[in-house]
Amino acid sequence: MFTYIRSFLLIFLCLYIGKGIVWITHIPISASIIGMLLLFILLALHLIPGAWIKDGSELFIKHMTLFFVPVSVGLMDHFDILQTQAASLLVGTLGSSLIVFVVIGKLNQILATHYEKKQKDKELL
Amino acid sequence: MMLWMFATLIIFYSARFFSSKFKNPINNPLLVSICVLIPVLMVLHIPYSTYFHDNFILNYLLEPSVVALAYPLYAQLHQIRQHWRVIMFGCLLGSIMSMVTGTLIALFFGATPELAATILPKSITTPLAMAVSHELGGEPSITAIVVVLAGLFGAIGGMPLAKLLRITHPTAKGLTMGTTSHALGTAAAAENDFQEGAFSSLALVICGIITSILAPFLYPLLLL
Repeated sequence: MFTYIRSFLLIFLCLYIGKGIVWITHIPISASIIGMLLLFILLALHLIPGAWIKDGSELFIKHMTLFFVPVSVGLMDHFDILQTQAASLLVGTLGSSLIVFVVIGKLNQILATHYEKKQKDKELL
Repeated sequence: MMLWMFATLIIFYSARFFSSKFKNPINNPLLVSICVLIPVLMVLHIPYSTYFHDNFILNYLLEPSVVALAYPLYAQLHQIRQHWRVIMFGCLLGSIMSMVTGTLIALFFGATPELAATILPKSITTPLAMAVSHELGGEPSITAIVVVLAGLFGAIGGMPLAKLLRITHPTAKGLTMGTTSHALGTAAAAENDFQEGAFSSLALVICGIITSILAPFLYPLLLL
């Protein structure tokens, strides 16, 4: 129980520091991304032990999809635009997603296996 | 009243229970929840604002769950050091390609410049995408929807497509999911495999930052 409370407190602390940074600097990057980078830096520099964050963050991530439901249901208010601009919205979004997935996916696969092989060769030498 | 929050919880977790029983990409908990909730709200004449107001807690938890992604990122730090070239190259190229193809296809199909600006940041996470859309003169509320659409693409089609294209390396699979489908793709990748989730959240952050920085410069060029 204590480990959950500790990790939640740290996660929310980073989020609100992120909000503070956005409020002061008007930087066009969202508070949650800044909070995430901040938490990552704190963990990477070993200023916070990973174990302090583990339980709470795993719980958040396990249920993350749920938190998208309220925003997604907002689709119901925009059926008119979806209808009149359907072609450009749908083809633009899905077509582009497909192109990026295929090209970048293939590229990532080639690069990842290539560098892994190189790494292994180096270890063998 | 939090009636609609309980409705969301019950519908989402039943959908998740059934999707774990019957493995099928269309059987996606998010998609099922939307397809059940929207018709119910419409039949009962419940305005979206009422529904959203009841669900403010769930929506509020979206932000800390993005912050929580720092942990899988940290847990894979040694992997990141090993693969940084793949990560940076893939994310830079992926971000530019996503913005260029999305905007050009939309313009080709008769989108106004405003609508093109609305679609441009579709593959990055919702709060970032809405900020970019607003900055370019787009409509942030519609951006939220195309972001979900791009997310659903990865969450539903990502794994089968990766299998079809023989994208098997967990690094490649995770990065591609995050590049194409932001946090929704990351949620799907993380459910599938811890390492994939880590690389997906990495791509989500890096592509989000790259897109936010490059969009204001790239957008005017695309309108030429």
